[in-house]
Amino acid sequence: MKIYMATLKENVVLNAHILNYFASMGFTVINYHPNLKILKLQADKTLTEMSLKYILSIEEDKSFNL
Amino acid sequence: MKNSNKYIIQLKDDSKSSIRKTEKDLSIKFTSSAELSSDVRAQDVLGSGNGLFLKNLGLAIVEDYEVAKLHSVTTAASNPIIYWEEDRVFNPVVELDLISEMKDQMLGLSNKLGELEAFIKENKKTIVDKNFTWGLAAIGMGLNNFTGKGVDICILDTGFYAKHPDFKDRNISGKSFVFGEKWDVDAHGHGTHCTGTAAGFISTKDKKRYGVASEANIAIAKVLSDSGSGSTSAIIDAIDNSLEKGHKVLSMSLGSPVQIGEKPSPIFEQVGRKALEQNSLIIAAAGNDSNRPSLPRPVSSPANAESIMSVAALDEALKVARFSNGGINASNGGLVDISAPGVNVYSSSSKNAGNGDLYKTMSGTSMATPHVAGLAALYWEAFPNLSAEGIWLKLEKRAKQLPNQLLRDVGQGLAQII
Repeated sequence: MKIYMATLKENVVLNAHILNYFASMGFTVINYHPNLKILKLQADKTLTEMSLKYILSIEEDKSFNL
Repeated sequence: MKNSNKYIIQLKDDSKSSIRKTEKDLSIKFTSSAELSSDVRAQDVLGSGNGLFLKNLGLAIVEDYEVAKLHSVTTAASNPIIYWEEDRVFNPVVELDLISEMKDQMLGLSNKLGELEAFIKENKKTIVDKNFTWGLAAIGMGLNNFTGKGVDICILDTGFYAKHPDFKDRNISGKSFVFGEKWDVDAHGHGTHCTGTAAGFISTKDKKRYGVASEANIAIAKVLSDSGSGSTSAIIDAIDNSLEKGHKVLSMSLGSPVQIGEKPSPIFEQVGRKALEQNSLIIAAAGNDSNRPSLPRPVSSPANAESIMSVAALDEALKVARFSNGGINASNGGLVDISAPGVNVYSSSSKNAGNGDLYKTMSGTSMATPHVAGLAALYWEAFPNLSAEGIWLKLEKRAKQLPNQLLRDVGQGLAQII
């Protein structure tokens, strides 16, 4: 299972329809920061396997160090 | 009425006719000053019926004369006397002036001492805090009177040793974004060190001043584990929480290396932009991946986002530190914006980390970043109506240019106090 961070398009409202769409694509929304318009998603898929609507960018959660 | 005083008379000229006319009108006999000698002195000739004519001055002196007669004589049309006045007592003017001047000076000195006393009381902290770390001296803290009072600084790091004696009276809040680890323990020490530089004050051990914004409100966001690693999602969580609470300055001494040519993360670009829109400034370390001079590496993520202020490290010679990343990926953003002391930086540490010392000297762009974060708090105290972008611009504008250092490596130069 992979964790992704994605930026939602400016005019998109994260409603049930959008959540269902992500679910249909194999992505579960596990957190949303409306203040930042950033989603935290969980999926088995890799980014090269598909493209998602409603988002500007997506990247895998990565590690930061000192 | 008989007046025993002397009178000084001024004649219109010193002609014989004027002298004779005056003698006649006043019924007096003048002796010329030319006739005076050590045997015949002025006081010997003055007296009833006798006066003295001062030949060189055109003045006459009479003594024990009737004032009324003098008045009547001087009102006649043919009178050669043009002015007269009673002899006056003169004091030693120079000595009096000197005494008066001394009194004025004493009063002035007393006033100045009063002003100095008030100044010392008002600026007691500044006066006693001269024992600065080299970093604080380099950013000009010796000339600073701001403390960051009322400004919230959030340190996103390994947490904070909340029992540190230097912080016992400080306003500190915190939250952990690392599962199973508390924000107020800091078993690593890195977060306590960065917090100390940004918002600490004076070491209770050796009285050395190591913190910039000594009266700022401190918020701790533990986003890095005690082993020193964290994730994008934890950092985003913490930033969102910090913005929600209205923190003005977010200091992130962390990073993830990027490759040459790699674009900045759109996630962090958006985060930085949203923070600026909400009047908060995110400041991040440029990263320590370089091995200069042969191998400079690009600014790390998230500092490479254009909306996040990127800080490079300087050594004590004010040259870019050997490890400090540079603006290699400038075409994609990834610039160094400003620089600050980042080599051999003394600050607070955690008793729960390493050998348990309360103070430590560390190096890294991690150490440079909180210098700038502390300064941002001072700027915000000084210019409370400025936007986050305004504070950013002011920091850059007031930075000290560094000769022989590249813009790519040190940005606008060494961050400075207001």
